[in-house]
Amino acid sequence: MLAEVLQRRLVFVTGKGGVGKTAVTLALALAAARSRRRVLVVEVNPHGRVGEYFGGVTLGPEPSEVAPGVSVASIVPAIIMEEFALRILRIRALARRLLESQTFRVVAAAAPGIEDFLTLVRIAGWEDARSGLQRRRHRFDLVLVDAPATGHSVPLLATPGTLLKMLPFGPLAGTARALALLLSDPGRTAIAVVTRAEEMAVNETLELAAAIMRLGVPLLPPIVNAVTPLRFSREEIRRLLAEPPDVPASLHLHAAAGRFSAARQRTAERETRRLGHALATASVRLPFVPARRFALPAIEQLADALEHARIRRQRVGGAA
Amino acid sequence: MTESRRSPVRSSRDESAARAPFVALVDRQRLLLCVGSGGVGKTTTAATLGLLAARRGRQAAVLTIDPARRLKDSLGIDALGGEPHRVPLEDLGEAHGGSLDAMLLDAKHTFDALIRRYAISEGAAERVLGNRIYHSISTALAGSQEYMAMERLHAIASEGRYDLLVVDTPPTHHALDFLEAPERLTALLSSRAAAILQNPTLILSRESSRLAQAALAAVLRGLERFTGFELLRDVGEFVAGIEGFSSGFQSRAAEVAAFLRERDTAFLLVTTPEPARVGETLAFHQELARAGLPFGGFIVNRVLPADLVREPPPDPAREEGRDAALARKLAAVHQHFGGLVEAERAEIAQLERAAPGVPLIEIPLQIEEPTSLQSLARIAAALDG
Repeated sequence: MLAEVLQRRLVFVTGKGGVGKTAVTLALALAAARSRRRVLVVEVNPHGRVGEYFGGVTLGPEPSEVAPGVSVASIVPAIIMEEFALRILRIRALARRLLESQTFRVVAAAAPGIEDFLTLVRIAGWEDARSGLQRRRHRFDLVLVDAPATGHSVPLLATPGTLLKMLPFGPLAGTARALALLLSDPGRTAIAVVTRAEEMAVNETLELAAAIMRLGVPLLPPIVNAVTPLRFSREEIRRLLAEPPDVPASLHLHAAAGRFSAARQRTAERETRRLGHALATASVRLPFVPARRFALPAIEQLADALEHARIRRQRVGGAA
Repeated sequence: MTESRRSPVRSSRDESAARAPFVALVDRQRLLLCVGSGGVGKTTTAATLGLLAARRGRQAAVLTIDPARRLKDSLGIDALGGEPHRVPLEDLGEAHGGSLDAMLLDAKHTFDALIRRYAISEGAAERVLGNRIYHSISTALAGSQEYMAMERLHAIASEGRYDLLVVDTPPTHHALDFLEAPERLTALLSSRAAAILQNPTLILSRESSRLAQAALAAVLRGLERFTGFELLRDVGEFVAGIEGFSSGFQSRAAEVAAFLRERDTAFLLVTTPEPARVGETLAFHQELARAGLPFGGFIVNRVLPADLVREPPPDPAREEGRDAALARKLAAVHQHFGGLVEAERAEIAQLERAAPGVPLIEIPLQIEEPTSLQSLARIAAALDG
């Protein structure tokens, strides 16, 4: 899995709310940094919590290194709007003045997709090693985007195409075309969808994957996060779930916990299988890591798991 | 015996003691708003509270924003365009004199209805509905979905058809996003902004220096180039179209804001016992307090049942053959669950400390996610005690 990510220069990490997108993004970043890649983690959500993992640093619009080989930056809507205004005005003081005007904000808010477009422009600037945005000390091998949840990721990725349909000519069409090329280039870009081995998360993942494939953006194998150990064999699941449980009297008191665990395992296996079949692809399992709030050691553990993760078509129970 | 085996786990008696005032919320309030971050199970929880209210004899309605397909199917609200749908409680074999309606809060549909209501003429309404900018404002403009949800909610509450409305709000990073939405939207529709949008050169005369005027004109032209389809003209046309009723919009927004602070309204914070979610929930709680909004209680969803680790762990040494292997795994499960229960209790204790005495209910983690009406009804029955 890690190899698939390391082959790219730009990877968007998305998925249903609460599945652990930020933790997986950071684990990918740490794992890539261990492979001597210079990584930039970009936070798109203005209320994101990436900084909390690095001692509460505040993410700024410019990359700052928070761990060896790992830099972080955030997309600040006001800054990208200023860049946009500057592109037209070429004088920063004037651009600032304009942006302070309430009316300008209203007009900008009404312009469909403008913020998404400018977000992608900024991300692409970091991806492009020749871009002026990349000062010498900020050249990155891999840009990882902690993207918004499912509902907003698709419109974000669709922006260049939408814009090109509305506006096939002109200076911005060139930028939109370059972005569309970048997003559809499997050699540079990919989307990683994080999910859980649960029914609703898998349903949403399948809908998201279909939407991403329609956009023509390359999709990595899905990452199934927070999988608890699949410890019981088929036979053990049968014994625990039998009515009454087929266990010796000395274990009767523990059958309830065993049944709960076995039934959850059965569900997790079923959902992972359904995900694999529907996408005709393998998936990557990451273990459940108990953690305190914003604990970097837990992210290191996830990074270990990513380094060793094999992409598996299906998981058959029975590991002792 | 219960004394000698005090575990860090609360007994079921403690839990039912904390639960009673929660049921009182369902019995007495007229409006419950479920707030929380994405993925905590807000929609499911709102539906469960609706079922609980119906069990307790109330005429309830659950209003939901964007349910997963399975839940939509179970509630029977797919493709209803925001119209109420009677949830077939008789299929559950439950008759308590209460009822439950479910409906989708469809922003576009509500916005369209508003335009038709406040437009001066049919022709004016059609002009607005056909405007390209209207489409993006009604669906994409930040806050419009939230505003429309509140608008629809107010309309339904005013009809007086229901004793209790349970509302599922959109996932937010700030609990109050949807409360501020009306202000953001009415700012766009306010007369000053409206006048400027109809005639963008007005903005220039407000600027003192000639240089600033030239700069603004350049940027406005840039914006126009950006969108390609004469953005400003479309916005101007849109605003002209709704000008006659923007004051109607604003007074509605003020009514909605007041309605959310009424005494029989309560905000419920929905969370899971995961550390990151509890952290967000504590922040939401502070925001509600700062805004002076009525806080009803916490709903902690997907709590691992503490009963599962009440017994001491199994002893694999006492078992033989295949039973020894099974006992080792059961011991591992016991340890895993024990650690989780302890961590979850610590998180829930933080919520209790943040708001002492406030109702807090726990919904146990289910083996299968509750997506069917039957499974939601079972949870509602358990909450009913």
